[in-house]
Amino acid sequence: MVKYNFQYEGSNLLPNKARKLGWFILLPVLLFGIFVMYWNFEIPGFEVIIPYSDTLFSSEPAPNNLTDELAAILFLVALILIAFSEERDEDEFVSKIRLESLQWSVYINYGLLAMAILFIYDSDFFQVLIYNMYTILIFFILRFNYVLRVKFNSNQVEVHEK
Amino acid sequence: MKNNLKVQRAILNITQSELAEKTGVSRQTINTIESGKYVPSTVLALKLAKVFRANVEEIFLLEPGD
Repeated sequence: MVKYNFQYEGSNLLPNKARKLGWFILLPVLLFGIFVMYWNFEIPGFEVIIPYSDTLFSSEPAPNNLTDELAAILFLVALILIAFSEERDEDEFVSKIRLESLQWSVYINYGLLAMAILFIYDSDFFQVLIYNMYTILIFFILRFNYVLRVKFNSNQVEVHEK
Repeated sequence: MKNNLKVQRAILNITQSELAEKTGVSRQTINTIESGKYVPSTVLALKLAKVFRANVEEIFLLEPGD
């Protein structure tokens, strides 16, 4: 195994192993999230009393089940682990691709949000906002991995060059 | 910016992987530099020059328009 030593000072990335953990928990967390979002699944008794429940008619302390909060945060954590872990061969080129991909995903994400603002309203728009919390990371992960592993992965090229 | 990394590599008779290992980057990085898709940092350019025992200017050359 090649040992890479081109380290960046002040790199804020997570260790390489974190990405494996991220992928490992992604599917269960995603399924959990889907159950919560579309079937209103709640872990029984997993509640806190929140100081006020600001509904139309009352503004009083009320119980709140934390299952949806848990699902939302776990999904966020899984995506962050996948998105911002070091590559095994992290170097300046990877760094450049990462930054470019991040910019690209911000453009795409807010481009789509702008369309949604124009064309989608009310509770449907609320759904869009929920997806939009994650799409920026999802677009980034897709783009970064595509560029790094598909576009610039020319393993075949070198065999013939010496 | 042009470079003659491929020529330099041929002179030393080393592969992209070997050059990558010597400079502490991935082979993809060497590949993209050679094909002109990526301009290396000053630090990496100096490291590459060191491997070839050459000056940076002998490996990397400005082109009109740079």
